[in-house]
Amino acid sequence: MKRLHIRCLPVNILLSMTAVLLVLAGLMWSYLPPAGIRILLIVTGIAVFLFVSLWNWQQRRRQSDFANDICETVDAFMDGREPLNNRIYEETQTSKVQGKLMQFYDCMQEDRRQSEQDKQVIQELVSDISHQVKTPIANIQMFTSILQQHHLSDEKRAEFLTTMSVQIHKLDFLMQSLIKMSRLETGTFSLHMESNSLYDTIAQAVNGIWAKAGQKKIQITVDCDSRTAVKHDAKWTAEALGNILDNAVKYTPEGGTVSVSVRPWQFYTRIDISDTGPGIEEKHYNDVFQRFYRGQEAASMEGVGLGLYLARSIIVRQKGYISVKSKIGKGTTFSVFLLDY
Amino acid sequence: MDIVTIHNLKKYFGKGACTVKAIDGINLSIEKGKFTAIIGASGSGKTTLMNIIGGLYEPTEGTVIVDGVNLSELTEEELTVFRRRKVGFIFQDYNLVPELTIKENILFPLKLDDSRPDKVFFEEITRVLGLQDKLARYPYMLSGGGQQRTAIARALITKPAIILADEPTGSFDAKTSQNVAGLLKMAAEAYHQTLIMITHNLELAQLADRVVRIQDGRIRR
Amino acid sequence: MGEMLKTLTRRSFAAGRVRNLIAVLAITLTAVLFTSITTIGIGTEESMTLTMQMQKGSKSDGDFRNMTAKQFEMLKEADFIELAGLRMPVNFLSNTNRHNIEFDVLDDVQAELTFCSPTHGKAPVAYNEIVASEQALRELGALPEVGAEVTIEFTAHNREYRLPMVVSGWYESTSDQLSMMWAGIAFRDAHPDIFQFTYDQDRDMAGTYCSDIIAVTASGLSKKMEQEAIHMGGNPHDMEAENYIAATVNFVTNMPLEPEIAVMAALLALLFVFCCYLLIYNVFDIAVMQEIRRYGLYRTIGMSKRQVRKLINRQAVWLSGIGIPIGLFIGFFIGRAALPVIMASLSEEYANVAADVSPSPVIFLGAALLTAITVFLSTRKPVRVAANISPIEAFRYVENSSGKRRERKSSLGADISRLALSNLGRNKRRTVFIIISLTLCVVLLNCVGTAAGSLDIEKQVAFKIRTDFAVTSAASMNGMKGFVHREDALDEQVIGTVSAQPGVKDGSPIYKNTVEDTDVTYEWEHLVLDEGIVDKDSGLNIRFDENYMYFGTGDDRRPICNVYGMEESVVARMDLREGETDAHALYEKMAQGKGVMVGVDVNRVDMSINADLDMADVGEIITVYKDGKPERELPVLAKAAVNGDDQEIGITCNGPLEVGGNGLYLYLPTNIYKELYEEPVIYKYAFNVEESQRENVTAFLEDYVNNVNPEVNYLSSQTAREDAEKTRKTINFVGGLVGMIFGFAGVLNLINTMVTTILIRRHEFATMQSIGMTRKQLTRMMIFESVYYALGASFLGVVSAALLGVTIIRNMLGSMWQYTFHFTLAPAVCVSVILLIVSAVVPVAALWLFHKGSIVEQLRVAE
Repeated sequence: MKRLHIRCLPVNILLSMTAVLLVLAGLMWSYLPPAGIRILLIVTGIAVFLFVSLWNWQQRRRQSDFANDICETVDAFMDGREPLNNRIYEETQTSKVQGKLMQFYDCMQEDRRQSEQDKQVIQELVSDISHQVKTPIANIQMFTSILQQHHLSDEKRAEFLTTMSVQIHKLDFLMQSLIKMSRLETGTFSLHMESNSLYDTIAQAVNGIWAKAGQKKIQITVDCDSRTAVKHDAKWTAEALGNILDNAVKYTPEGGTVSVSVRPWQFYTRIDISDTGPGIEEKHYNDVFQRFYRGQEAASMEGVGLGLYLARSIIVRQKGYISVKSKIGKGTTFSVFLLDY
Repeated sequence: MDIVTIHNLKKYFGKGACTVKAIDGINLSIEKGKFTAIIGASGSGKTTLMNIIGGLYEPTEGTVIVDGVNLSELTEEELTVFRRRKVGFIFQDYNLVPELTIKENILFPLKLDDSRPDKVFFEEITRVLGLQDKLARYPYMLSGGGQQRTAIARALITKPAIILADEPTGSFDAKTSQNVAGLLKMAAEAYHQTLIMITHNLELAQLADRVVRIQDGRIRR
Repeated sequence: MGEMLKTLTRRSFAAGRVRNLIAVLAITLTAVLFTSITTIGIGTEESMTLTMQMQKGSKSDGDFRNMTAKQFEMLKEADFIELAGLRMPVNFLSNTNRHNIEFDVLDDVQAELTFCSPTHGKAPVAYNEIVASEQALRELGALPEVGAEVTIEFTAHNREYRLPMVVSGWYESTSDQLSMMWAGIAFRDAHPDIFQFTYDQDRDMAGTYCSDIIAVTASGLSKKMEQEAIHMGGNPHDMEAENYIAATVNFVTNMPLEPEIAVMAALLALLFVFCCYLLIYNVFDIAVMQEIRRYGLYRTIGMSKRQVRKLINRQAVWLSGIGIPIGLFIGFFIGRAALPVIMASLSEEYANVAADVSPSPVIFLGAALLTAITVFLSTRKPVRVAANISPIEAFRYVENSSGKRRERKSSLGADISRLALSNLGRNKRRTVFIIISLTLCVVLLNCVGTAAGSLDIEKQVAFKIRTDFAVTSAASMNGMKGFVHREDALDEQVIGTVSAQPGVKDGSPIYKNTVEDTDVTYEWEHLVLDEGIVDKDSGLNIRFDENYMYFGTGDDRRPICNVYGMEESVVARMDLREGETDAHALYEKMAQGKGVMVGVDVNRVDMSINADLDMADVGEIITVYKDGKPERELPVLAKAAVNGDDQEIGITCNGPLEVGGNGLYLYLPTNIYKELYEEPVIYKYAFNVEESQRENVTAFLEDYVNNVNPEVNYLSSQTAREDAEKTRKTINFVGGLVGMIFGFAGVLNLINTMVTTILIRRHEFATMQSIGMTRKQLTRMMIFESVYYALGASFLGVVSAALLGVTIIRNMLGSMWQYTFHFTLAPAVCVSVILLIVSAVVPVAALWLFHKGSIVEQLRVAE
């Protein structure tokens, strides 16, 4: 890599020489004979000409140096190796562009790594799904063949059909989750950020789990000012909150409480969803938001481990974030922070 | 992938009998894109550690590799450019330039590098940080939170590899602290940046992906 | 980046108003200094050149003389000449007394070049029209009016002319002694007999062509002129040659730069640069230190050293951009205002010239350049400090206090002064700079005071005139003539009139020999003279000895010497050095014809006898010859050191040089003098006047010489004293100005430091106050701190002033005869006292202005 600092020197010298000569010519105008002025002007002219050509030449050199340096770097990246010049923190144009290229390269690498990882996850997912799908399908097949082959009493038939519909429901739920996930992943869904009443959104979310909670005799309390308006996508936010609530209801033992409280902050509106469940260990705070993560103690519960992952994705898309706080044996609080624009 | 790798880092101040061992043998790796909180009592060496990562101090011993570059191999001027392009600093007392408007303050690091700001990015950042209608004001016209948001925007604008926040919420009440830290976390997450934050607030530390405790110049396990 | 730096510079400019004000003030002061100095310097040079040109009577680049008409035509064609005037000299007018008038034929170019273009009326056209100076017309008894008629008398080609002329125009002459009267070309054509060229034969100037020229360039002029003279067939080297042509460069116009003056100017400039360096350095140092945290922040965010340097440099450029133009403007007017004062006191000759200076670009360019250089130099170090500051250190930056602050624990009252002292040590460099600039002020003012105090006015007056008044003929006081001929003698009648004035006492007429007294000659031992030459004017035979001393000799080719006849009172006033030093006894002996007193020129510096001229020892016999025969023998009884007054009159000594040359000054009593000389004449009447009557006598003499008897002139000790006083005024003025500027710079430095200290240490002060220091104690601490600077400066100043005084100043003054070294420290002490008072006031004012509000507020502001 060539450096250009030294090459500036002759230009500077020439420039100052020209200036000095011009000043001299001006100062001595009345003292010098015309011949002297003429010579001074000629010399100045030559100096200016030299300066311009030198400058031009240098400019061209600089440009080609710059281009070559960049090409070198790009070549190195294409070959997947580090560029030769590792002095990327110099205060030069080249190093600036190189730095950016490197950042870009890193991003690409990161993406590749991510997609690599995703591929693996998808494989696991496929086996997981096939595993999860296998049972209901086998059941449905079994019940279908029973229904086809045997003449059963209406009572019996209704029982089998109910069981089947439960299995189909399960399949449908899986299906819905997969669609949502894939849409989130591929980014094909769009958020409609509008100032909506948060109360309505929460109500929508709570509606989804009302029945389930009723079954488990879980009390749900909502503390929200009906006037609170936040800019958010009502549908997807309700989905996210629903997932969190569903999770809460799922882990809360019978007779427990799930409470939702909304507090407006300076830039955020904070929505706390607390349960009286078993709690999460601190080291798993982050894990709960991972895809297909399911707590060990939750193995017996139904679900695929996508709910919280989806919830977080939706909230982050809206420039908000979720945090968890938990005490083992006492319960867990998920805090959703929605940004007020 | 680790963005910061610290190996056997030591930093002593003073000489002879009055040597202060600010950092006394730290090994630490920080994963790219993660939020790390460093907590510890005052005087435990956390600020020194951060300043070393930011290239402000030279370590007495040990190596610090940030984004693939060994800092001890850089000259002072290179360190300056390193800070300008790779590190975003956020301080407890904001350290905004009082003579510059909010917009100028945010763009300051870019201007130092003679770069043209990415307009879309700038608009997004200011919108997210709630600064879009305050751009023409001067720092003293803003509340503490507003000034710190400006400082966050300044740290983000260069899309640095790491953001070093030294008690960014130190001078705020609990609510504002949550706010600012949240913004910081959100911003770092949204732009895939590595965030290292010093704090003594455990609640804030819980926002982090990882918490590193430092005591007497060492990492406490 | 550039645009951001610009914004930053602009905004921080508006923010640090007080600091910037001080910086601009400092730069302005620097520019004022340099501008006024260059204005004064160039103005003095211009005015002096103009004055000297006027005295010389030409502002040309050079002149050719003694040409023929043909040669003059050739000269006009020469390509190195831009303008050539024509002058055809005739002669000096012979009908004048006190004012000499040269009569020439000029063309308009020449008239312009030689300062005699008519300011009233117009140039002569008709053959009988002339232009002359006001003084010349008055001398000829006419009024300066167009159309006045004058009669002129002159000699040309040994023929006397007496012509009536008409004044067509007149101008104000710059010289009291000589001016030009001129006629046009028509006069030449009307009098071809006057303008015959006979120079090659009889050296008569009338008829020659002379020309003052303006050259195209001044470089190599002397060589070109020489070649041109040879080219037209003249000989520029041999004065004796028939075809001699004088071709000389006008060195008044093309004055070579004297190295001493150049060195002095450079030294002065350096001193100023240094003084301003101290000031500007401090201003920027303080500014940078105040902003150090910010530079640290910039560096943390990623501003490179170069960018920090650029930022501060840009600030310096901004400040200079404001300060320099203001300074140039103010400085020019200060310089122009000061110019006449300086010119008037430089020498009496320049007094009548209107001193002025044009706003030449050289002044402004030079001053601006010097200021810019000073600013550049002064900001180097602060810029480096700011650029090199480590980002983290900057955040913690507090000026390190020397020593531990154990003082706080002990009782505050007693230790406040010690606390203040230790504060000085925080920034040693700055402390040193402030003390140096204050010291410079003390030292300079003391040097000026010493010089002014050492100016020996009485010595100067005594050298010119020992009595209160002296009356001589007008010729004797004319620097071009002197007392040479018997006709220059003072009329006895005048003595009678003057001595009759009330209050006149100790009057004594003084006799002196003239060039006509060639019958009385003198001889003494060791006198070996060569053949000698005949002086054209006096007709004396001038002979030289082996040391190239020259002697006017008489009929028998022996020296006629300068011989004086005087009363005892005159001898009593003289400075008797060797032999009989009792005036009365000496006069008694001399009156009895037992000997003579010899006078020897003094070395004016130490008033010692000039060894070169000391040709006869006490006891040596001087033989007096009359008409070639030894008349009597006079042993040297005493030796006196003679000054200007003893020789002729203080302002001229032309007469003795024309008569006796370097020959002995012999002083005889009146009776012996009258015995020796056939026709004794009086050249001077010296007398004292009672104090109460001096004004009357002055008024009488003024009226007498102007209106009653223009043949007579007078000199009084009062006018001599006034002349000498002018020099003292100049020294006081210029020196005082320079010293004041240094003092101002020092005090500005002090103010700046105090204000900064208070601003920076607000928090510290607040802390101190919160732990129980009262405001009074705080003020006292600051006063102590400030006074320590002044004390240090005063001490150093007085000591170095004393050292300088007895060494350099003494030597410098010792080499100038007008001074008698007189050691003094009074100015230094005075200045020190003033500095101490100022230094005590400054912190009080600064605290009052900048340290307001409650302690809590102070603590908060400092956060």
